[in-house]
Amino acid sequence: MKNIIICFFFSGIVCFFSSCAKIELGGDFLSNPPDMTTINKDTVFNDIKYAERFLFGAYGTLPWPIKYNVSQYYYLENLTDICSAAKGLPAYYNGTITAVDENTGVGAGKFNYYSGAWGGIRICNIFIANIDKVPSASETYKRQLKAEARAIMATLYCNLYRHYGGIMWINKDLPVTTIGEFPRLTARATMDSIVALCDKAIPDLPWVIDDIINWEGRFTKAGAMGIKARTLLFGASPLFNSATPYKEGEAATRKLMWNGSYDANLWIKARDAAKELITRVESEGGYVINKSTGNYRKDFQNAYFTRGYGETLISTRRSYLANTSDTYGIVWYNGVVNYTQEYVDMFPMANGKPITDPTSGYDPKNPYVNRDPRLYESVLVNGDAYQGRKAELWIGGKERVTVDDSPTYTGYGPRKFILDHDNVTLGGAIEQFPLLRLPEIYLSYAEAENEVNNGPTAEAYRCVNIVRNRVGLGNLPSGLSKENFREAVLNERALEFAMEEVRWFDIVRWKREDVFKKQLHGMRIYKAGNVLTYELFPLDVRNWSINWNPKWYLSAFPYLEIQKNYGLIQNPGWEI
Amino acid sequence: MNNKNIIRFIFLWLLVFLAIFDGLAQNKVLKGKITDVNGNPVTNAIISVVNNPDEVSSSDQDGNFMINGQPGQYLKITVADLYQKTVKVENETMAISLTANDELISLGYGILHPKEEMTMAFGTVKSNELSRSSAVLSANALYGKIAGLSVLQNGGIPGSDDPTLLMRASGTTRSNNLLILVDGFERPLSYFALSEIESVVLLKDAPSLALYGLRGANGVLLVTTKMNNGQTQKPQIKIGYETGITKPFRKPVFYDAFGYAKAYNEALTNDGLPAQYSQSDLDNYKSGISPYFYPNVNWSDEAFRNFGRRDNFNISFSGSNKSLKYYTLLDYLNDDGLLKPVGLNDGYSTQIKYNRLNLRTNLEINMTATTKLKVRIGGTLIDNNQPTESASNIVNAIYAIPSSAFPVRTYNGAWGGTSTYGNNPVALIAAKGYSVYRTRGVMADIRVEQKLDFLLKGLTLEAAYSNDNFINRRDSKTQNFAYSQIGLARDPSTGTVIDTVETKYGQKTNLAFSTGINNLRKGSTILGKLDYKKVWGNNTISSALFYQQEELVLLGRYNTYLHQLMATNIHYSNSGKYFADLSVAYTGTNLLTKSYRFGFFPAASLAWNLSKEDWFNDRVINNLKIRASYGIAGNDQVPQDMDISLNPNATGYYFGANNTALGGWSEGKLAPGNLSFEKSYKSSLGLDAKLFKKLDISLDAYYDIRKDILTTSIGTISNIVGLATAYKMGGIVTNKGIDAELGFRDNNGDFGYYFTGRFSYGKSKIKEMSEEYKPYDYLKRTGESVGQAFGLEAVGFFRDASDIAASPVQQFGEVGPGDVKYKDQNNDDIIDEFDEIPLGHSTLFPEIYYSGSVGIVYKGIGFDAVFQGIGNYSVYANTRHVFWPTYGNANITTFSDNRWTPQTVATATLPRISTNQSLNNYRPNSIWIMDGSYMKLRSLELYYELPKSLISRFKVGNVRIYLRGMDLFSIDHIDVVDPENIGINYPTLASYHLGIKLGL
Repeated sequence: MKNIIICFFFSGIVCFFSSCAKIELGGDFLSNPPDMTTINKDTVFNDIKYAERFLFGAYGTLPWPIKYNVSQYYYLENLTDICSAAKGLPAYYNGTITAVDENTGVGAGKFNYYSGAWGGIRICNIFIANIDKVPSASETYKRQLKAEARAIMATLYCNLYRHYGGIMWINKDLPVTTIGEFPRLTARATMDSIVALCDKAIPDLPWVIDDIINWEGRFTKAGAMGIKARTLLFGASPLFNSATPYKEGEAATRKLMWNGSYDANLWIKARDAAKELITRVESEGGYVINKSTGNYRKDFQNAYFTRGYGETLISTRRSYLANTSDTYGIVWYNGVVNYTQEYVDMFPMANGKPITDPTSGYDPKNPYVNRDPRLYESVLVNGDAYQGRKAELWIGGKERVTVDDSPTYTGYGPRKFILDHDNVTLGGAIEQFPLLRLPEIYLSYAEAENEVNNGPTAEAYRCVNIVRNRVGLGNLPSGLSKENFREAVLNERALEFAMEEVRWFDIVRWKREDVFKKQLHGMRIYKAGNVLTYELFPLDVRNWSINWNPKWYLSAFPYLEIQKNYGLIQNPGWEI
Repeated sequence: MNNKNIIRFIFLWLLVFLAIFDGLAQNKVLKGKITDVNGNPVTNAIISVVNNPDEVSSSDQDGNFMINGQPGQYLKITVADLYQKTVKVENETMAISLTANDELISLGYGILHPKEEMTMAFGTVKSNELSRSSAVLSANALYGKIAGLSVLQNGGIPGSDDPTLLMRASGTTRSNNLLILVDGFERPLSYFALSEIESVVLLKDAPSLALYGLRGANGVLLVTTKMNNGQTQKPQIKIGYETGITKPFRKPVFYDAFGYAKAYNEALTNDGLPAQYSQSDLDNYKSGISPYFYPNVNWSDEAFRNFGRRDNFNISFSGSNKSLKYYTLLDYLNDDGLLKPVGLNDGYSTQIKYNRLNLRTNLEINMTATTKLKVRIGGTLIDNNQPTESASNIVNAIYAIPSSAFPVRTYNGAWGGTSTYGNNPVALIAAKGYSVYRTRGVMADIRVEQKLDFLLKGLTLEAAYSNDNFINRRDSKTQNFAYSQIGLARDPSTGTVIDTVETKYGQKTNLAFSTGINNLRKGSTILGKLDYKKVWGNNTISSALFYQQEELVLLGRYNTYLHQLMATNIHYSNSGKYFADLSVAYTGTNLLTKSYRFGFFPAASLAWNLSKEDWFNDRVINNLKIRASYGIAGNDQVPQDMDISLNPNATGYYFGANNTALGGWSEGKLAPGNLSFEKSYKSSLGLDAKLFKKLDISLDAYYDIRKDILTTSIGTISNIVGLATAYKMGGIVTNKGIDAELGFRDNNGDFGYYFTGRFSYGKSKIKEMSEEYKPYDYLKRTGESVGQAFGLEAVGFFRDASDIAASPVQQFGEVGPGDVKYKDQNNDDIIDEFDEIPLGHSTLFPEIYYSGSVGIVYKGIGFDAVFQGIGNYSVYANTRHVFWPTYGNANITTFSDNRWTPQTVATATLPRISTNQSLNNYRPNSIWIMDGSYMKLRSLELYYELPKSLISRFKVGNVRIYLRGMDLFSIDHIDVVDPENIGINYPTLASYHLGIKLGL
């Protein structure tokens, strides 16, 4: 009897258990619950669609400078003579920034800004190593994808190269637990490596994107050739290509931030790279610089703003539709993009003559009429059409309510990229960032040709003039000296590429201490009745203009990176 | 865990015992009487002859029993799960008295050892002591009750004030949560009413914690619910009722309107700006002549009532007979919070109202002579009504809004407010609707014990299963309110008031309903266990081998916790003098990757009762036992998503004419690889003694080394890897300290008194934490305690411009006279982050935790008091409005009275005030890192137990009436707010209660 009760009881327990929940005993119990599904490399590289998505992650790391404001300096343009930040950039402007300031948090400094780049480089390395495993895709397409990955890497490295000089070269899937020795390459080796990447990518890339509707934005042959030209021009310029380093230090001894000697051949290489691209563009088409609507301003706007317009060799994006309350829409209106009087004065008259030329027709009492159309498209100037009316930039005007109004603190407002900053022109427009435009290649070519031949050739003139003619400016005066022609080209680049991260690298690679030392100015316009008076005022002195140190040419590696002991050597002047 | 391993484990375990044999001899009738600590007879005690399961008897009403046995054999006396004593039969008649040393201490898994034989460090508290608290949540009854258990208060919202429980100082830089088990299963203590808890045990050292494997390292708190102890056949009914009032323990005192306006002017002057309030404004604020335009509102008084109310009623029925024991409880608690105003809304209330009903039925059924069934079922129903606006937002508004900002209502009856201050606290409470949080929970477990003497004498099989389900659901009705600002319009030329101007803000909306599941919790556990007990000669062995698997599923992704465990505890005693324990566990968790999820946790301990030795002179020292233990326990509280190596939700890229990004797949944090759980190597020495027959002393010293603590590798791995750095097992923390407990108790006829003191000191030290490079040794966290505060050392305040010019440059923005001046630690003439040094102590865990209780009783009238305090603890007083005033429109309290002004240069202890947030002054420094130590009177109780002679005619067993105060005062260094609650939180409470307890 007792045993029967026990049996009955135990079977009852068993029923109770099994009805309450699924009972797993023993070895399977700890197997992952359903929410732990993981995707791994094998999944990704088993299907071309997944593999593509993996590569798109790398595209997502391409620079988008106008939307990425770095707390240490907002925008690269803010460090140049063309633009100043009304809000001030204490660390840079007062000269107290150190390698420590590059340390903390994403966005603190360039290195971490470009840790987006390190992430992209990682993705590309993994992609290149694994794409061949994908079973169901044509070899041609796989080769093209691989070339895209290489072009992305080259683009990311090119930026690192221009900020730091020689850089750590990562060409494999690095383990995350140990790092070992990872010294910087020399500046020369870095340049050569970037060029080699481009050379490897170029043959497998399409010249233009055929399915422009769906795939505009992917890398093309022209884009990779452009990056090659950009890299070679930087490497040929005096910052690196010189008989002496710009500053002594361990990094200089090891040739990490200069080439170790002057090599005239580098100019030839730079010229040839640009020429190759130009020749191909002019013979094969697909890209064009002088597409005309008859309206020069509109032409220029299309050139940098409109996707697929033909001038953009590499465009990047972080979103699709522009928005007035977007990061840059807001930040720029907070007073970080304040163009200087020096910049405005660089723009010639519409007839192409500089305003300093007495015959130019420049009227200091009416300074914003008949100027280079690009002035109006880059800088918001008083009296220009704006939001369906005229821009009022005098003190008390709509755009500049008080003298300290931060968006227009220098007397000028931002215009490029944000247009009228309203929903008519900007809101809902399709965005891109023109990471590399064809005019840069033309101007790079002209510059290198001038250096190679110790003076401008007809071909050099032709290339500059193509850019000038596009906005209706006449040709450059002939017979310029080598120096004057170089200056004219750098000037042209400044006018063409406001907020496109060109000016900074130009003044750096030419070691333009004089530009760094410029006293910059703003403009105060007073209105009494209908009479406007113009008063120039000096902007706050940047520490480097009085306390010059060539260390500013390149960036500091974050202090903590140096301390991780993998062989990273700091750039001169930034050592602690 | 592999099934083969399980079988192997069982086989080895049995092998240990099969080697032991015993013989048989002729039986006689033995007689005895059992008495308890106070000399009263013990009824229903089970008496059995060890090694002869056929002989079982029980004691009668007078404690007498008879059993067949013979001298030389051992009798085991068991009183429910409360006491157990093994006695060697010397004569045929025995007087057996149970002492406190015969109390059974639980190690969990149903393993119980008599206290006398314990070789481990533990602390325990029983219901009679817990019931001297009126806390809403049970954990708040534990302040200072167990040596080594740190209970740290968290705010005062009824039902949401679960304190932080920690064993000793923290031994890890990561999660240090205790494992809390109720009736053997992991359950939140907050679901249990205090009245249903019988005992709480804290397991503190390796041999007990090793049994919990990779969940044991942080300590285990075992809570047991009540059961009838089987003392009487008669059903017992106990009724308790208590009513009380609560009030804020301490509220910061904000400046009145005049004081605020003056202070704000002062701040503006300090900033070199013109004053905002004119003399006539100040006069108007002072006189209060125009309360609508120059309001002077004490927001704390407007939003808080003086008193909240708390009521608690409980009734229990229990009883027992030969085949059944039962205990049934109903406990109802209601707490109305402190918010005001009441009754503004028709049909609903926005008050804090916490209602909780707990039901419990515990049964123990002897199904056959060898089969016992234990069923415990508890339920909790909680309805928690609150304003829609969170209590923290309301308190933030109360703190943030200056008295002078606006009136509660304008003279039109609209809610007051301004463009700067839109958060009228009274409106936030009364005009934003309400939310009801409903918790429903059932906790059920069933346990069967089957004696298997027919297989092997002394073998018992036990199986248990628990299944808990909780849901917490929110139903809200939410609305917005409109508010207005009425200002004065003045004639521009004369300045005289000509009109009022009303500016309206916001929009009143209708109540909108929303609902959601706030939390879900499903837990189930299966336990299978074999017990084996054997005595031979002077040796006793009792051992348990068990297998357990637990599943806990909470709401949301990555919230499933699975654990599997196989373990054994072998307890050995010899002659009542020598004791040893061996614990071994093999456990696994789903939180770690396959190859690293299982661990092996051995531990052993020894104890020696010197006072039982013949040579021991026990005149002064009546009892003396020393203990030692060593072993390993683990901690698997790691992030559950560590394993993810690819993230399909990464940022995509916008190709083509389409406003959707093409999904980019990218890597997440890299897979942890060989990451595993933390291992704690615990060693402990202990001593238990009784002196002068009245003074109990217990001392434990411990030294733990915690290894394989997860750290980030950011300090060593470069960003060039291109991926968020993975975790690594880089951390080592040591933790050493002592726990001491001292108890003294004396009874002298009608007069009795006692004293209990508990003291814990623990200091952790980070040995290794993969720290980022630090150029100076004093900057390093490595070598300091876990949570050590760091900051700049203030050396005074700048006097003037020349003082500033002569001092090192402070890199945190412009400084002026009255700003904090710092010491340049590295002498580089720059004050920056490199000048931060360790200041004070840890801000996470106090190093010292102590308590003392005293009580006196005379003829049924008595009092008890419990003090509790902490020491070597720092707080970072960075609360805006309270400690950091005036900038960004912040409020100001009396804390700032002693600030720097040109007049108080010599005596000021705080920097000048400013309307700008001074990054120079408001950062971790020696001014704000304050001494957080305190001593509090946790409870004070006066009671009267009515004499039996008086009440027996009403057929009432006992009546106790009491008046109790909780958290009545604190001695500390913070003064302006509760040192345990320095942030912007609902106030902690002091309370007064009147109660009665009846036993029928």
